[in-house]
Amino acid sequence: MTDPIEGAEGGCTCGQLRYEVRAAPLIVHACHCRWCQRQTGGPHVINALCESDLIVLTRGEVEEITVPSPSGEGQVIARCPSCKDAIWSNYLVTGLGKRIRFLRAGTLDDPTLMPPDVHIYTSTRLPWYVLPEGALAVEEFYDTETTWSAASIERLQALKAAAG
Amino acid sequence: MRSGFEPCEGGCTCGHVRYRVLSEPPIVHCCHCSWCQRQSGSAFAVNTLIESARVEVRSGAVEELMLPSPSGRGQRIARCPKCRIAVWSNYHMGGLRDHARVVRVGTLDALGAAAGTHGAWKNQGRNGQIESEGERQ
Repeated sequence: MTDPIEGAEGGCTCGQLRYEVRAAPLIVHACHCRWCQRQTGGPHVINALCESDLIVLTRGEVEEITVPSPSGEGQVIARCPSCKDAIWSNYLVTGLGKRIRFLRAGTLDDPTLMPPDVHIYTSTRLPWYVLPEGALAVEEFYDTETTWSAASIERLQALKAAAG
Repeated sequence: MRSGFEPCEGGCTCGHVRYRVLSEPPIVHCCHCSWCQRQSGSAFAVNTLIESARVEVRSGAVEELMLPSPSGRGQRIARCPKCRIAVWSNYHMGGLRDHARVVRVGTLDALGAAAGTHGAWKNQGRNGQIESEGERQ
């Protein structure tokens, strides 16, 4: 999962923001926590985690808004300044700050490119939402070492080394 | 909706905008269209359609933005002016725009209060299966 995904481009509804993803995501979360539900208005978000420098804006500039997060450390949401669609987030609790982006996979032109690897916080899953058969799902969070691919763990270690 | 509806409240993530749904919505859509996917960043939106007069704003004033929509007639999205979370939209809907709100169910405080009943435009669906009581989508 280190090769770039062909055609992994996306943007906001009005077209002012456009981006390219230049690597396969480290992992893709379907997060069913109440915060993600409220922020999306839906049953869960789909966040594709990737190094920030591998998600490249090809048009426009994001508007960043800091909102509360479950950790208390805050979450920075990057939105289109015109149509206000959210494109990615940074969770400040990760220790990696802005070095890692949680890309909203639904903003891809072809969202099928980044299906969820794991469903998290299913303890607050909407009662009528049926998880795909065989899907990896955890009530809260998972153990990174045993869930991420070896290649992704290597990339994570490089990120941590760069962050000091 | 589940039976036994009771008025319920919701709001944005920073708490500035708070609203109350006063009566049972006629229908709840799970919309898998590519527009809802992009706007939510997720697999589908859960939208409850309800008379505008039955959604009472308790605090905060929403900021409304007009955006393109699949119909070509535009969609007005109501967001918190501070945290920018979308709480509802108004679609043209054959002239009903100002009279009907499409509330984003995920913004309700108690999500057990709502359930999807229709898999709208399911042909664009993808990961994540939905099933309302007794009906496979």
